[in-house]
Amino acid sequence: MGSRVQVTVALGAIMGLAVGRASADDLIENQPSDRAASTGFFAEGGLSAVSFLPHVNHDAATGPGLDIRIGRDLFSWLSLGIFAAASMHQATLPPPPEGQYFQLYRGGADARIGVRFNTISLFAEGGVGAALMSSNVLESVMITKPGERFSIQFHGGAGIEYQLENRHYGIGIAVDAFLVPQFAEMKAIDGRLYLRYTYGGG
Amino acid sequence: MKTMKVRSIAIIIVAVGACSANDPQYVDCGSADAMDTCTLDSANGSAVGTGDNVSFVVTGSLHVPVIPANSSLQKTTAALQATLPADVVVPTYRLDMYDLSVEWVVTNLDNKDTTAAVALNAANEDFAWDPGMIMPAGDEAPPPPNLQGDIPFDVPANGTISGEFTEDNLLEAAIDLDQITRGNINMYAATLNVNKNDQSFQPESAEQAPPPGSDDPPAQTPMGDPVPRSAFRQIVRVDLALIPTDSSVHLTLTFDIRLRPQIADVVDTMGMNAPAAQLMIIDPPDFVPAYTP
Repeated sequence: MGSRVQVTVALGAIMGLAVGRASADDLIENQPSDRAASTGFFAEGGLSAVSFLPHVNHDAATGPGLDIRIGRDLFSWLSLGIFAAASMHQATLPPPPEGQYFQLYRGGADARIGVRFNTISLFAEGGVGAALMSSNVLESVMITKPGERFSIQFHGGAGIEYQLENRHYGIGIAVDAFLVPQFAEMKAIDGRLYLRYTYGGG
Repeated sequence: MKTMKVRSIAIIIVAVGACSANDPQYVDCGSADAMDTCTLDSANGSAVGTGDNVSFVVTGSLHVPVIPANSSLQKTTAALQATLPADVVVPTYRLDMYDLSVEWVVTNLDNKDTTAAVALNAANEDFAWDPGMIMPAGDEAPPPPNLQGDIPFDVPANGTISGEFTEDNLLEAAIDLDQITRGNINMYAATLNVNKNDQSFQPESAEQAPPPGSDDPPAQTPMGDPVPRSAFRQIVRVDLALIPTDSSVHLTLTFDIRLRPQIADVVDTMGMNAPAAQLMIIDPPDFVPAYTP
């Protein structure tokens, strides 16, 4: 009987300690709502995959890309920026040519509006710019016209960003769709994983 | 902040530099020259050659969309000419101005296996090379050589075979053509030797028939100054030949030119779809050696 009392007291003590420790942790934990994020000038660099939508997807394969972006947070919910992106694709049109690659360069300006929930922010973005195709390899399937290498391009999309403990850094995933009217109304999806650095401490 | 600006400018410079690299241009048959043919059909072939050298061939040509010599091109040509002896003529379209390669696809439209070959010949701004125009003097002489290719391969029934004459192949062809036509170098020697790295060649006197009573032609002698690589002629027209082994099997050959300009303003970005007035379409005469052993 005496030993049962001892065991019960010991378990109660352990549980009490455990509860007490949890309470202490709550006090010192860096709560998500406390996580700071800088606003101001920012730069982003990302790796992407660009996949064309019908009808261009028959003649050009999904390819890897790079994205860079610099901009300025005007408010915590609105930023303006300029971007440059390059992606490389295999031309899969009926041969000849066969096994050839081309690069698609894009650049322009866009706006981003977002809302932040603790460490996570959601945003939508859209803009306009120019696109340049490195060669006329898609001319034989009439995606580009003779001598045509440039086009205007429009893009829009959304993403999700996670704020790291260092208030200058965030990582995110974004998916944009873009339209290139002069290239036979080429449509594509650009999905990217990026790292963002925000200058300043505002 | 200053560091950020410098980095941003550096990124922009790198990006612009990457965009302005000598990206390839793919040249198909266009509206500028109705005689250009990018699809050959064995149904349109004919027998060429004599004796044991008869073969069934269908040929087609595609021009390189070079632009007429503008003032910039004329200046560089004149500047180079000023550094060379007068008997070394500097061409307008030179070897170092652009690189070429040719991609092709042979399709067997019949339900029967066969073999075929694809051969490449070419023209520079002064001469074209067509082995079908040359009749070797000797009965047992090998057929006049093509500049590249002419290697038989199997084409399965209803199958497709693709291939490429690489930039190295076209470089070799351009130099061989210049050596044969300007240097009077024996056509077999020029095509069998690897000359793509030659820095110059010595023009020789024309090959002559053996004197009466002799089987040996007189030796060729050097004529004039050596032609340096900077004055080598580049190809301005590609001539492709489809050579089916069995003329009863229906084959087609489709090809295009992959062009990489090394300088600005030498080829038209619209290719052979540019207005004819914007292009310099050159069809020089076929070269026929004075004597072929």
